[in-house]
Formats: sequence, structure tokens, C-alpha cells
Amino acid sequence: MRTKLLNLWRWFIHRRPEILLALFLLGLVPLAAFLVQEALALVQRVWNHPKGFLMVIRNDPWPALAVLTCAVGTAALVFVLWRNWGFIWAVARKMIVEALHRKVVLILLVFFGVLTLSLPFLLKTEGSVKSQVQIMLLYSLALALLLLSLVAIFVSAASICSEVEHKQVQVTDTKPLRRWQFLVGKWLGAVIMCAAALFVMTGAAYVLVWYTVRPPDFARMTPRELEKAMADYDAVFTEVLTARRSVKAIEPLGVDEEAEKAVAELKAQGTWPNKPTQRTWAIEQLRKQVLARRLNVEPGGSLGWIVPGLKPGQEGELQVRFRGYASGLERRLLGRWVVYERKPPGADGAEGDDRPRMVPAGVSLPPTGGWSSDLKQQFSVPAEHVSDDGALYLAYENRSPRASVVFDGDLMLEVLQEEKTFFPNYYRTLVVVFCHVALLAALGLMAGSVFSFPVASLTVMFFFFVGLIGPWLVQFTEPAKLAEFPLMVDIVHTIARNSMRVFLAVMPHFGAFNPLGDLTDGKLVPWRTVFGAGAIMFYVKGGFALLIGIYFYSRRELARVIV
Amino acid sequence: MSATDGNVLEVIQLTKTFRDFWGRESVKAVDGLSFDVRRGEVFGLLGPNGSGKTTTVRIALGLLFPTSGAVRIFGRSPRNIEVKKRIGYMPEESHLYSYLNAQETLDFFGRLFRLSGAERRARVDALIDMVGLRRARRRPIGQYSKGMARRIGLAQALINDPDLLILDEPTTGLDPVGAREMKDLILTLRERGKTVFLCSHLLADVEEICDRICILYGGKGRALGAVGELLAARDFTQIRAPHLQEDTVRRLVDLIEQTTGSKNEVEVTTPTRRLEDYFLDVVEDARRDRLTTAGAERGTAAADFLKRIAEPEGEVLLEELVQASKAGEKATDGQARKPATAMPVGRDEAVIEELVRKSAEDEREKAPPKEAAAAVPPQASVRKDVIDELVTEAKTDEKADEDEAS
Repeated sequence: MRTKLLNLWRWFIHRRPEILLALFLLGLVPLAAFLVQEALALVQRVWNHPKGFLMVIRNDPWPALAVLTCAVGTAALVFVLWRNWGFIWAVARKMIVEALHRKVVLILLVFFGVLTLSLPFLLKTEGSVKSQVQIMLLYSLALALLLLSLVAIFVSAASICSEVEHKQVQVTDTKPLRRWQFLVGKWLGAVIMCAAALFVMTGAAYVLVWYTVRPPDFARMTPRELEKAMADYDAVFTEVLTARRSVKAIEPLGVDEEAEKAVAELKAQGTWPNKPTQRTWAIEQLRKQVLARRLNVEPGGSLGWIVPGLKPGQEGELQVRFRGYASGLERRLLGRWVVYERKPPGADGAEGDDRPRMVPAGVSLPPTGGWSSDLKQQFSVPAEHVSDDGALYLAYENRSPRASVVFDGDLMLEVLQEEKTFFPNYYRTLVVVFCHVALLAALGLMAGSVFSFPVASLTVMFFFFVGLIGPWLVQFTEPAKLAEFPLMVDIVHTIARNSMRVFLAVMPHFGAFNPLGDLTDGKLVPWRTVFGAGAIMFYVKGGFALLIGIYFYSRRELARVIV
Repeated sequence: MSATDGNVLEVIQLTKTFRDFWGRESVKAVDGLSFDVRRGEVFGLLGPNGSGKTTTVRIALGLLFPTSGAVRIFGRSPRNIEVKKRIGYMPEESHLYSYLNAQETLDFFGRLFRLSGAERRARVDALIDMVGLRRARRRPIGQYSKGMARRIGLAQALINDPDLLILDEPTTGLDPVGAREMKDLILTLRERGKTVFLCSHLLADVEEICDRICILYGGKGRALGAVGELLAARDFTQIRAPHLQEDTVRRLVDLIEQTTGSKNEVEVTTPTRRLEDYFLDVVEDARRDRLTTAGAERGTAAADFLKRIAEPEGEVLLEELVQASKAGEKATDGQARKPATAMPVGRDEAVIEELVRKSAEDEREKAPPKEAAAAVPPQASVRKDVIDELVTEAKTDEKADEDEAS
């Protein structure tokens, strides 16, 4: 019995890399399942409306391109791994065994565990379960991302550098192993290790979240408290642990035409600016003005909105978000939202009218004291009000005696409809995080194979920090306002700004693909983001980094010695 | 392949120039070197440190690229995968993964040769047994002693049953038993038709096992041929036969025979010299020719301050070198020790040894150590220089490598 156990233990120790690989593949199973599901739905859609599909692609070819890149990249990757599996796995396996002996993964998990479990003591929330869950999700995922990025980039860079420095490559390179196989093996090892760690970490976070949202303890509550607690409990599921699609209201018609009219007026007056950059800025400003005028509701007036593209026939509630600015010194918006339903002509027995009529179907009153001005506000609307063609009709009635209201033209009116459950959304987030980690591993290898130890470390640090602050830097490249500059200064600024933009586009950071905000807001992380991240971060940037690494590493003298 | 059937490894007009960061030529490590290693022989590459041995080996392994000329193994480039399947390389230091244990290490290298699972396990077990590390096979290599690590280094070189075995300093770091086993193994492999290419400082070992040798100095080949031939040829020059008439020789021999009264002695003393003497002579010749060598230039720059520190170390190393040789002659021992005592002493053992030796000889009239050093005949002092260089550079070589790597 004892020897049996001992043998089992030995087998486990010996097969740890294979177990990690299995864990990694297991982690990919949901991805495959979701993709098959999506592909089937897509085929059905194309089958039903081939022309509509073509139109969609023509209007916005990027998602299709991303999907194509991912498909081609995956095929190439699988082919390469398939053909060279023996060598690549040997290297990856060795790297994993080494990292396990060095307790890299263990330390990583311990750090994560300590930091995550200390979370309740570190953070002050407003006390609601919803905010707790949101913070817990954001914090644990950001932590996992940070730790894994660090490990991926440092482990991969250090493993190449130290092998060159300690001359182990001088032995390994005399074996029938191609140098690119060596690098790809290292990358795979790092990726599998990080993926397994990600799997464990996010699994733990998932369990922790579900543990936090237990139903409230009924026994000791007064009915009032219970009601509040239940509302709080429900809010977790309707607003955080869900995947809602965001749909925006249609912009009022004729805004662009009116803006053009204003431009024409300025031209007639002779005050239209000469410089192209200022022209774009001026058009933008005029458009905003027009939009603000259209989205203005006078006291006693009302403004109608149409939100198209929702899913009809759904139960439950929709969340509607808006942001309004009260005029004057008013800090509250005193108005109400009315939901309308479109009735076919003659449905209510009214005669002589052959047009569809809008019938009020429900009212959302403001909270006590009114909606807050300048802040994003939210209210719920029963989903049953969505018409059969997927539109929701809403109107804001301004009941304030004095103040008029202007709605935010950027946010417009946003309606959130439940689309998926939480798990698929969570999983998509993890896929995006994984793409980021894989990119950092490739960058680490690139640095390690081009430079030797200290320079490689610094390069890696540089990548890492730019990756962290990248999204903020991107914001800085957008000028807040266009001041009047002399021509030369303007040219220099433009060049600097654009080269900065190119640089940031090349650097590894989430940029447009950050899924954490959407996830914690209970919004759907769209496939567009997932495929964009897969195409740009995983295949294009990661592939280039790896190719650069391979190029230099294959041409490098691995034993530079004085005589 | 057909043209090079007899040659496993060919080095053709090989030149390697190291350049610094700015592309300036800094060191010419190998300079127009040509030799070949024939199938089924044990070939030794000798030379003082900095003479280009390791560079040649590394070019032959595809770790460095030649500046001009070429190295062909089995008629192909050393970077060819097919070539790599047929060679085994044991590095000078065991550059192995210190966090892996013996079994994992050998398993990893076995995988790189696409050995099947069963085959791999069988070979790993056999090799671990062969190098006698069965009980230590689950310990990380980082915890191994130097000799044990070298045994694993040997085991990994043999995992693919190579046709050509390239050994860098095969016996350094091994205990006498291990060194004996290593030499036996090399000879066994030769009997099996394998080719062995090695470079070494341990001349006794080289003399014992090598069929042919090449001696390098300053990156140039100074001597090449079968060990026996080379040694015999040098003996003729030493006799300086051209200056003597045949009669004179006969008379000389007669004279010797008359004086000693025995014919056999004359016959016996003539033919062989030790390889070590021959090696030192070749190096000395090269120096006299003022041959430029990166090694020598570096050596002279660093020697003065390094010698002092490295001398006692050197003595120990030399002692090992001498012990390892079966002949173990006292003369070399004494020659090496006398200068050592003359140096500013860096180690307690050296002092104690000196004291002990003095107390044994105190009755005898003898000059103080410093003068003793001066009294050493010129030939010996020259040799001492050579040995110094051998020894100090063995220390600096490693440092230089690291500097270069960083």
C-alpha cells in the first residue's frame, strides 16, 4: 500500500508538466465550445440574410479581419506545434520542471492568495454586496493580470539570458534542436505555466465571488431591512454578475445637416479657420452645439428617444442610463421618464386614424428629490416594453418649473439588456487577459534573445511599465484643445504626437481591449474585443515579437568568448 | 560525403576574429588553422590557454561562426541538424541545468533526440549506472560536486550513442578513479569505431589515449601528427645529428659503450621523450618566433599582478597534473616547487611545506629561497614562465568569458 502510494506520488511529481498542460487544454475547452456555438449562430444568420451580413462586413470590416487573423494564426500555430511537438514540448517541459523546482508558480499563487484574502481588510466599500462584488472582481483580476504579466515577461527573458550566461545553451544547442524550436518551446512553457496559474487564480476568484453573494440572513431582519437587503442582493445579479449588452439611442435626425449649415454661415462671415486641424475641431464643436440644442428640454417640455436593436420578448428588466445637466443653479432634474408602446392603428377602438399610435405604457419617477444633475443616472424598465422589431420608446418629461435640461450627447441614452450569463463573460475576460500575458511572454523572449542580462531586464521593465500606463498615455496624445501655434511648432507637435501614437500602438497594453471595466459593470465583453485582442495582441504583436527574437537568436553566436 | 569518407571532422583554413561592440578587431583567436580528424581515432587538441582550442571546439559545435575558412563534420556544416544527431559534446565545465536532477536532465536531452519513452528510460538508467550516480539521481545537479556534475556531463554526451564525441578537458575535475574510467571509456569507444576529438591540458592523459594530436599556439597549428612520430622526430633534432660525422657518432657510441661497458643502455635511452617536455618546447619555439597571440598579449598584460595571487593555486594544479601522470617524475615536481617558494607566499600551506622541506634539509649548505630561484638554470625558468601562463590563464580564462558574456 505504502509503496503504491509512493509510486503514485512519484508519478505525480514526474508528470507535473503534463498535468499543467492538461489543465491548460481543459481551460481551452470552454473557448472551443463558445466558438462553435457562435459559429453555428453566425452560419444561421448568414444563411438567412446573406446580403445583410455582407453589408455589416462592408461597414465595419475590422471584426471580420480579426476573426480571420485569429483563424489563420491558430491554424499556423497548431500546424507548427503539431509538426515539432517532440522538440517544443521537451523544451517547454524542461522549463516548467525548472520553474516548479524554483517554486515560481507556488510563490505566485501564495502572493495572489495572500493579497486576495487580505482584500476585505484593505478596501472600504459603501457596504452593499454589489459594490463588494465589483471591487473584489476588479481587484482580483487586476492582481492576477499584474502578477502574471510580471512572471511571464521576467521568467521568459531570464530563462534565455541565464541559459546563455551560464552556458547551458552551449550543451543544448549541440543537440539536434533548431533554435526557433528552442524559443517557441520556451514561449509555450511560459504560456502554459501562466495559463495554469491564471486558471487557478481566476477559479479561486470566481469561487470567492459566489461565496460573497450569499442570500441575506432573513432571521434577524425587520421587513424593511429585509427588503433593502433583497434589493441589494438582486442588484448583484442584475447589474454585476450578468452580461448585458449596451445599446444606444438613435441620435436626433438632421444634426449633421444643421452643423453644415452653421459652417456655411461662418464661411459666409469669413470667420472659418484656415488650418485643417482647426477646421476638424471647429466642425466637432459646431456639431456638439447643435446636438446640445436638440437634446435640450425646456421646462414643461418633453423629449422622445428611440432605442433600436434590442432583443424582443425577454423577461426581466432593462437598465437605462443617462446623464443630464440642469440649467441655472439647479442641481436636480425634476422630470420623469415615460415608456411608450407603439400600437397598431385602430387597436384601441379609436377611429379615423390609420397611423400607429404611441401609447404610454409605464412611468419611471425620479428618486426622492430628483435625478442628480451632471451624474450618470440609472433606472429600470420592464423588458416587455420592447416592441417586436426590437425598439424601445422613451420620453423625458421635464416637470421642473424653471430649469431646462440638456442631455449628454456622448452618452446619449444607454440601454443595457441582459444578453448572456456571467460565466461566458468572465471567461471572455480571461481569454483577453491570457492574450496579454502571452504577448508579454513573447516580448520577454525577444528581449532575452536579443540582449544579454542587464539590458534585457531593463527592456523588459520598460515594456512592462509602458504596458501598465499605456492606456493613460494614449489619452494624453489626444490634445484637449487646439491652441493657435506657429506653423513650425504645429508641425513638430503633430509629428511628435503621431509618432507617440504609433509607438503606443506597437507597445503591449490593453488599449481598446481592456475587458475589466465592462466585466465589473456587468456589461457584455463583446466578441469584437476578444477577437481584437486575440488578433492584435496574441497573433500580430506576439508573433512579431517572437519572430524578431527568433531572427536574432538564430543568427547569434551563443558562445562569445575571448579566445 | 564520399570525398571526406575518412575524415569525420575537417578544419579548413579556419580563422576566427573577435570584434568588439564597434566592430573593431579585438582578438584573433584562431588563425588559418587546418587539420582533420579521421574516423575511428582519438584526436587531441593541445595548447596553452588562450591558444584557440576552445574557440575551435566551439566553432566545430556551431556555437561560434568562423570569420573565414570552415569546419566540416561528416562533410557538412556543424549547424546542420543531421550532424548534431551524430555528435556528443561534453563541455569543460558541466554547463547543466542546476535545478534539474540527473534523471530529468538526461530525460530532457533524450527527448531532444526524439528517443521513444521506453528507449529513453533504458538509456537514462544505463548511463546513470555507468557514471555511478544511481543513488544521487534524484538530487538537483546544483548540489552535485564538480566531479559528479562532470559525470552527468559525460552521460548527456553519450545519450545518443554519438559517432563523434567532442570532449573539452575530459579528465579535469574527476577523481583518479573517474579519470581512469573516462580514459577507459574513450578507448572503448575507439574500439567500437567511434571518433573522439578532445582538447586537454593534461598531457599525460593525452599521451596515453590520443592517436594524433595538434598543438596550437596563438591560434596557429604548430605541430600535427601521430603522438609517437612527433615525439620521435623531436628527439632527432635534439641530437643535432647534422653537425656530427658518421665516424664521430660511431666513435661517440663506442666511447659510451667503452666507458659504460653495456650496449643495451645506449639503445634504451635514445628514442622517447615525455610529451610534456615536447609540448613546452613547441610553445617556447612559438614564443621565440614572436608569434602574435591574443592569449600571450593578454597574458603579459595581466601576468605580473595575477601571478602572485595565482601562484600557490598553480602549484596545486601542477601537482595534480604531475600526480595524474603515471610516470610521476620528481624532476618536474622540484622544478615547479622551487620557484613557488621564491614568490611572495600567498598561502599557509606553501609556508608550512617550505618550512618542512627546510627542516629536512637544514644540515645541508643551501642558498636562501630567493637566491635559489635565481640559481635555477635558464631553461627551467623559461619553463616556469610557460607553466605560470598555463596556470594563471586557467584562472583568468573563466573570468574573461564572463566579462565577454556580460
